[in-house]
Order: sequence, then structure tokens, then C-alpha cells
Amino acid sequence: MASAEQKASGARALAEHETDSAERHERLAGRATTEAGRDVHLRMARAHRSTADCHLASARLHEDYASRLAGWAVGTSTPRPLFMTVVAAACGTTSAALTLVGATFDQLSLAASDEPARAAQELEFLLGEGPARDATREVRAVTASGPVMSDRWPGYGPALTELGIEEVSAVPLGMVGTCVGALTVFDAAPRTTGTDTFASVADVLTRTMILTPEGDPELFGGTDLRALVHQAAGMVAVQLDCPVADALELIKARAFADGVSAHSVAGRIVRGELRLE
Amino acid sequence: MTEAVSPGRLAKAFVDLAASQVTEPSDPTGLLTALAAHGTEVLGDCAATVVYVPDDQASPQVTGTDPALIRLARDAFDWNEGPGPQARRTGRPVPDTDLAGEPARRDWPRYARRARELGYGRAAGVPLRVGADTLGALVLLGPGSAPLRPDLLELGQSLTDVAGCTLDRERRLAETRALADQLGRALSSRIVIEQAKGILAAALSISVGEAFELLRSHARSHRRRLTDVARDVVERRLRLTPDRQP
Repeated sequence: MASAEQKASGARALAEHETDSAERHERLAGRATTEAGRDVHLRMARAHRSTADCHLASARLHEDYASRLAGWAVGTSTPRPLFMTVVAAACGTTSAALTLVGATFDQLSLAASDEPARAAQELEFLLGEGPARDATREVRAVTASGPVMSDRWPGYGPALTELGIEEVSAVPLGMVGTCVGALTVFDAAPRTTGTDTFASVADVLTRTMILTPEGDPELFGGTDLRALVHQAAGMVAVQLDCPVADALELIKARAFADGVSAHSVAGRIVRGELRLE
Repeated sequence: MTEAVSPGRLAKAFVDLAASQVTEPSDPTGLLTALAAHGTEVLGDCAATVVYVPDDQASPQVTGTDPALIRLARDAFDWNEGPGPQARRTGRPVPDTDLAGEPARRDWPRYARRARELGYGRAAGVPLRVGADTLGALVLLGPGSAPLRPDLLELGQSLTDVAGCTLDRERRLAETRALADQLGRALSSRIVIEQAKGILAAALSISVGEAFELLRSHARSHRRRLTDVARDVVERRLRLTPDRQP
């Protein structure tokens, strides 16, 4: 797996290549003898410039991450910096969560920048409602703040307010007709979600990290599959003789009722300390 | 002498090539045919052929406006002679060349003779760039011995660039869909394996570590993928028993 520095310099090289192509088309547009020819070359130049911007933004994310890793002392009690903290910072917040979904919109993989983002993502998982779910199903951006959150999501909204989060926005991660997940930010600075910044960070992630052969959908080992929860679901399915999907719902319900994470309930099941009825 | 190209005619060529729908990226025949046809029509009394080789394993796709030209373009590729293969190989335009001249007779002996027999005296090629790769070329053939006009070559390159952009767009689309699919499958597989570990652990009263070993040894001895075995366990089509072999 390439290091953050390698990825950053790779992205810079790609940006340079795209800029060269853009400049070639701008020259051709300048020499074009017809309006149609000029338009075509200008359009192609714009496409290359936008791809160049995307690679540059990716380079900046990776450079930021590389410098955070460099400033982190191995062996200390501080945990290894997460790539998601860099993503959150680019979105103008400290709390951001990424969710990858499957064909049936079930959460497959997740990553969060900090504790509030992780807690909010867990709530969405337990309750089966929330902005990432809506953004992936409807394939559009979702924003809600204050009382609107509770109107829209009767369970998730109030719980989010209890976490001290006042605003949430999610955008789908995908390209032309494919949606693989969502990026959610919590309490971002007003200017970031109001403008295109947030959506463009999501676009950069999709194009340079998630949906590209050179990417790293595991975000430098920072994603989680909820392995323990799925193991526990398998055990409950045997114990109660029910489908695994039903067992998973029982675990979620128990976790929400107890006010703990699905991971903690699952841990007790796998260790034989808890048997669901 | 070639007439100036009408702007309306040219605009139509550009729009057609840019908006061309390629339903199957491995078979962009329609787009290539449109490129050859527009090239021939827009570029005065020149004839145009197109060669496209999506990757080294695939056979070349060749189009042109008449069967003799298509055969010539295909043979050119097999012989590795002429402006088409050269432009594709080098990624650079091949300037207007006299097919009766010494360089053409020396470097493209079979190609130059056949093209002259078909009534063409001049040839040039422009690369078909798809993203960062050169995957083919547009070849222009001019009748008689008058040099091909530079503005026609430039026009040919513009047409080819538009077609290349369309191919690139389609290629990226297909790649994105495949990657999204692959990613979803890879993640789902890992989850199914965790679920199967839990099922075996509970059913056989073993640890999840032992359950994983059981899955793995079953997959290995039956030459099946771990994911498929796990899915069968989760869907209760397969009941594994602990390894009791001595």
C-alpha cells in the first residue's frame, strides 16, 4: 500500500498531466478556425482542468495526512491519526463520517473522524434512519438542523441533539449512476456546507480514494466492518433459529434499549455473557 | 482543389462525435464509423480510415468509408506499416507523406504500393488519444500528388480528439461501474465470513477462531472460495462438522 507521501506526489503528477492536456486544448481552441471547433476544445479544456483540480485537492488531503502522521510519535498513548480527521478538516469541521453501502443500502464499511461522528454513525446504524441512509437512497445531498432533524428522523434527530450536534449534512459518494455510500459532516462551519466545498471533498474522495484502481477504500486502514457485530449476529441466528438479518436487528434493538453500542452488545454475546431472547 | 469546409457541416461532425452513445465500451464501432465518415466528408476529397486497439490483447477495430480502404487499414496494422500504426505507436502525428517518395517506399513498402494502386498519392495520420493513452489513429489519404493541406490535418486531429474524449468518458464510466460492483462484493464477502464464523461457533460450541479454521479447511479441501462456503453456511445450505480426522 502506498504511503500518504507517495499518494500525494502521485496525485500531483496526475494533476500536472491533466493541466498539460487542458493547455493543449486551450491552444487548439485558440487556433481553431470554426466556432464549433473552438467550443469543443474549450469544453475539453474545462473537463481536464476540473480533473486537475480534483487531483490537486487529493494531493492536499494526502499531504495534510502525511504531516499529521509525521507529527505523531509512535509508541505514545495517542492513537494513530485517522485519514478521516483530514477529510473532516477539509470540510470545515472536526466531525465527519464515511459510510459505504451495499446493493441493499446496508452499511458495509464505516469510518469516523472523532467520537461525536462515531456516535452519530452508530445511532444511524441502530435506528435505521439518518442522513447517510437518505443521501444514498435518494442519491442527493441532505441537510437538516435544529428541530428539522427531529421532524425528519423521529429517533435519530432527538438523539443527535442530545449528543450536542446542531446540524448535519450528507452527500452521496458516487459517479454517474452509481452510489457507493455517503459522506456526513456534523456542525461544519456555515460556509463549507453552504458552498460546494463539502460536495467537492466527497467528489475528490470518490474519484481518488474509493472508485479508482489506485485508490484505498479502507482509508489507510481506518475503516471498520463491524466484524464482531456480524459474528454475534451469526451466533444469535443459531441460538434463536432465525435468519442472520433478523438476529442483527435484535442486536441493534438491544443496544439502543441499553444505550450502548452494538459492538459492546456483540462482545458480550461472543464471550457467552449474554443470550438474547 | 478542396473547398473550404462549411461551418455548419463541421459543427454537426463535432456534435455527433461528442454526443455519440457507446453502449458497450469494448465495441465502439458506431463512434469509429462516425469518425471515419465525418473525416471523409469534412476533409474534402480525402479518404479517412480509423484504427482502434483498446488493449494489446484485443484485435484491432478498423473502419473506413469503403471496403478496399478497410482492408488496407487492417493489413497496415498487420504489416505494422503506414501512418496509422506509426501514429498509434508513437502517439504523435505523422505528417503529410508522398506515397511515391523514397521514405514511404522504404518504410512502408507494402502499404505505399497498395495505397497508390487504390489511387492515393499522399497519406498522413493523427493519433487517437483516449485519456493518457494512444489507442488508435485516424489516417487521411489524399488523391493525386498535391500535398494534404495543414488545416485539414489539424481538423482531422480535432475530430479525432473529440472521438477520443467520448471513448475516454465511456471507458471511465464502465470502469467506475465495475469498481463499485467489486467494492460492494468484497465488503459483503468479508461480512458474510464473519457471520459464518458466528454461526459455526454457536452451532458447534467452538471459538470464532476455530470456526474460521473450519471454514478455511473446508474451502481448501473442496477447492472452493472461502466466501462461497461462508455464504452457504449463512444461508444454511451447508452444515459443517468439526474436523475429526486423526
